[in-house]
Amino acid sequence: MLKKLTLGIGLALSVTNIALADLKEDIRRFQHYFFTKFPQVPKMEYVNGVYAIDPVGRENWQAMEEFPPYDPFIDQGKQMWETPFANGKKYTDCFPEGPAQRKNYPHWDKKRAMVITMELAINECRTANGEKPFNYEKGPLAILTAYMANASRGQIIDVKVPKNDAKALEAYQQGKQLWFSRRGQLNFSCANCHAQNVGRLLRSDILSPALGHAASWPVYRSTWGELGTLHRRFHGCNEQVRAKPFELQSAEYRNLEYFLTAMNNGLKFNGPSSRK
Amino acid sequence: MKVPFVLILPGLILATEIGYADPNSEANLAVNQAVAMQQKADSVGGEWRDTGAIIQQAQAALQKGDFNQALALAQQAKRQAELGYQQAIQNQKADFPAYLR
Repeated sequence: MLKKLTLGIGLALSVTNIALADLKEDIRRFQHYFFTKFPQVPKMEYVNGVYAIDPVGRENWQAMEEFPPYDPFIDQGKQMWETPFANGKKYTDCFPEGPAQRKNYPHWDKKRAMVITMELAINECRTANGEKPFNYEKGPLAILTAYMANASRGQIIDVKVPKNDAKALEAYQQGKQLWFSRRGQLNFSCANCHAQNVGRLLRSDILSPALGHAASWPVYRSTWGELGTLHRRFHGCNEQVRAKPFELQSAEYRNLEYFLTAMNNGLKFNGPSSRK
Repeated sequence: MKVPFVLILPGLILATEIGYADPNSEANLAVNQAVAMQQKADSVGGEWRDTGAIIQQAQAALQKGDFNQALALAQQAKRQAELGYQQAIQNQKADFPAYLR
């Protein structure tokens, strides 16, 4: 009996060790690829997306950043943050640390056995206080998160996949699998564009590096003419490769965010941001 | 040489049976098969973006009585769904590719 128990514990430990080693190794491989591909780009520059590798686009972007298009939304978001719900409670009742929340998300919730994103937590806070949830794509949620992201600027990305939780590891693996899966009629994976062909032209656009992708949300995209969330971008990318997109904040996209943000560990959050 | 009619008749009947298929039921069947395949692809996250829209077009053509169009669209949607399903299955173990190692 003791022998069996020891064997069982030993096996469980070795599985955990493999999992931990894999996560570290995944991050190393992922980041090393970009560092090798663009040796002239400092690590912390990757949070600026394609402008880290496209000098011409960078000049235009820097000019735009003098009067950033997301600026007015930060003030609006602050107002939203400070406005009490109908029941008199505020967002600070859900987020006692204040608006600088980015460093806490996405995280693994052991009790619920699921990945929690900041956007999901905001809507859960609202519904718990008798308010209607926001649309996950754009509008008030993107505005509120612009304020929260701005307050979080400079926080280090440090996504953790708990050692002793097989379900957390599974969620991470599912996110990884989705990121590397070819999807849609065009048969592209996220990796095909944003790793394998990074820096190359797709029509008139330079493909941005995946390293840094999770750092700058919400984003004011000139294409959208407004602020949008990370999951809106996932959705759009899936549509562009002609795959049926998943629901925003679905388990698939939350797991994808979990993996992608973990790959960005060590970089700094710098949202909100503007992109072409 | 005159061939007796009694000898030609069975041949005629057989040829008609083989060559004739009700276009309505053929198109209907194709649409149903496309829907079933679409659901199968979706169950593994492999459905393509336009498959649902093509099926809707096929159903509209069916309602208008344009059976040829309905059949063609349903076959296209079914093929998309088959490929999407295969693609999802092939990618079930997607992981770091060689260029990222």
